[in-house]
Amino acid sequence: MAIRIGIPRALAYYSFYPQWKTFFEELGAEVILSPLTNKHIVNEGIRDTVTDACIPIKVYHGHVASLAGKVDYIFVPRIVGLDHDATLCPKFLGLPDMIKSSVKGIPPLLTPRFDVRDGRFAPAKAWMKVAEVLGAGYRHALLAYRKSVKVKQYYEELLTSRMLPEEAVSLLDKLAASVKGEKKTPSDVKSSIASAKSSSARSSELQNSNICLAVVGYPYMIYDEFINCGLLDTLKRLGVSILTPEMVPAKARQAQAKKQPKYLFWYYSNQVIRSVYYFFQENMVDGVIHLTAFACGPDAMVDKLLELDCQKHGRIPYLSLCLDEHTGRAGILTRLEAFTDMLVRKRGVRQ
Amino acid sequence: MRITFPHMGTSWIAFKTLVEGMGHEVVLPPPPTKRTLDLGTKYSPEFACLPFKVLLGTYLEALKLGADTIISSGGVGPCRAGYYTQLQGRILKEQLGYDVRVITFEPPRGHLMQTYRIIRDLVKVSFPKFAACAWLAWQKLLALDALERESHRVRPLELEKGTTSRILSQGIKAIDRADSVKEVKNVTAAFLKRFKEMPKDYDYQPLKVGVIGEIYVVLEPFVNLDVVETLGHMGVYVNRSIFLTNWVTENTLLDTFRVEAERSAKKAAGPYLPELVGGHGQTSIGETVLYAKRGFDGVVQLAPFTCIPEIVAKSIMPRVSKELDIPVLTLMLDEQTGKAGIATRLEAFVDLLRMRRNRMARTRGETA
Ligand code: SF4
Ligand code: SF4
Repeated sequence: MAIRIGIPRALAYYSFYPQWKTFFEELGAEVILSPLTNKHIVNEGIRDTVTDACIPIKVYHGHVASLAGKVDYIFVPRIVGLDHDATLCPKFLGLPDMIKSSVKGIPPLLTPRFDVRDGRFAPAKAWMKVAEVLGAGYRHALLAYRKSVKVKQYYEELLTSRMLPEEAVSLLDKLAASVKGEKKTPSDVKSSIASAKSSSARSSELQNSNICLAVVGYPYMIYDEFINCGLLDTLKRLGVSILTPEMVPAKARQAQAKKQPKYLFWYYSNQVIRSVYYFFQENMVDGVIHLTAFACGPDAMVDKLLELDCQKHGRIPYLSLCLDEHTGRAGILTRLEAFTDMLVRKRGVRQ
Repeated sequence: MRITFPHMGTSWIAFKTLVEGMGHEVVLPPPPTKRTLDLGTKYSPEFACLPFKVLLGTYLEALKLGADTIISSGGVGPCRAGYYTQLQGRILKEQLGYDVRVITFEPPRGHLMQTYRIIRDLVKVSFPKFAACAWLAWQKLLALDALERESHRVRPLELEKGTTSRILSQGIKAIDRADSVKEVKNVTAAFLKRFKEMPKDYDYQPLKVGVIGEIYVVLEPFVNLDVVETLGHMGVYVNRSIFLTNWVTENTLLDTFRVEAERSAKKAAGPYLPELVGGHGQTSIGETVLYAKRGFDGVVQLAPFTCIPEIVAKSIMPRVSKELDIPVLTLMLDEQTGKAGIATRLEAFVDLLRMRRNRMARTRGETA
């Protein structure tokens, strides 16, 4: 029977899932994803973590617990560095250690350490080690790795075409299945991706007449509908189109780095700031919504910087939403309505 | 220039000597009070860590006293401290409209030229004269640490409560007044002697408790609500893991030459937290392991609310505590924490340690 690998649907999942899944499946393992975040998962997470932990970390613990008994390994990577400018939040750095100390009765963890600052091939090497644990040969693993990198590239292209992660994931899933079943060639895959991209870009083009808001924050806050009480849907219903950091191509984000007098020390925080600078530069947004987690360390800095920057950049309206496990739908809705109403009025005056 | 700097424990004495030695006027940062904290909290992000808030409050008070320049240290994370002055500077200038110069010393590693340039611009006297002052400042730091370390040792033994603290505060004042290295050394010797000669209960075997955590809250008694003194008065010998002099050598000299500091604590943390998580997170775990191995009765972990590295450490602590059988009390401090609450928790903890020690003595007696 195939080895079953559990992947918690939280934190870095939103940036990497298609890549992870491809790698494991290429090696013949079965990937089991934890369910969408729900009340039960949140409660499990709260039970297992210290009260001071932020909601995404609590939720991650809950996802890990929900995989117990269903898989042979749980994949809890230690992601340290994704670029040369910063590390990730310290909680990512100590994640496997926190999980080991806090969640009881779970299968062994796969905890490769990813740090590109250790050299260009460091991530590949880390993956090779994972393959070794799973008993796969070197050549086989290398091929799987190559393929996974390719898929990640597709995934990122889909995101920059303004598709949301869940949608992009299921599209890639479908394509992968069709390659297996109908013997499609890689070039077919490429063309399917291209057409999906252009239709996604077109549909967001159509909305351009509306109010457009930058919704920024960490991917595990923006795209976890349970944590943020369906924020993106609510905005859609209010007739607002949105832009998120993941919709900005990595290169364009990096190009904004020079506007930071000193880089922040956390990868995702830099991405947030840089994408906002990009939106400002391109004059793309009418306002900025920042989603932050209650008691999030890095965000105490990011939030203030954004507030000051919005002010500096021609008083762009700024709304900061702080989320925790007690956040209610009604409260969020009221604040979003008030914010968009204000923007509509402002625009009316301008025109 | 009228220069001010962060207030952290007694280090202001050395900084004062240093900045005056450069030929500038010093605006002493007032010791933090409730008012400082309120002021800082008012203009800080809600979830900024406690040191950020206290320091911002301190700067605001110093600016009112006429300071026009702030000198502080930077850093490169992954913790927030290295970004403090960036953001505090913007808050002071953009939000509150102060005309203030903020000078940040980055750790010399990788910034040697920058460090040199800052010092060159700052120093208004001849280099030998400045070097002499820097040396004096360093000697003062060493002296302050020596007195404090000794006070931790003798406080639990004192016969009359308060003697130690009284001698210590007189000693601190004397070191502040000393204006030559020789005098600093004499004063230190004199006060160490007074500690030695004060009436003590030599038969008493105090409980031994290690105090670990984030550097600012460990070093600033206002912020940690006098934890060290309170424990001492409960008859506990406190071993503080952080002293400024060690920290300075580790983070400037050793780091510049890429010597790995805190090696033993880092190694000890290995099985529990093999990764550096910024601040003092990994050291906190490592120190706890070491205290357990050295036969300490317990450990008190001090951390500011929302402190990222210490939250990581705190989540792992239960496992360390259980496997090595050492009780750990974690105190998360924020602007609402009150002294009475802390004292109660410390008392309960010390009671627990006492019972535990008695129980262990009894079982040892039975098996013997
Ligand atoms: S960046 Fe903030 S929300 Fe994310 S893990 Fe760190 S503390 Fe939690
Ligand atoms: S170690 Fe803790 S208190 Fe210090 S800067 Fe980092 S988060 Fe703040």
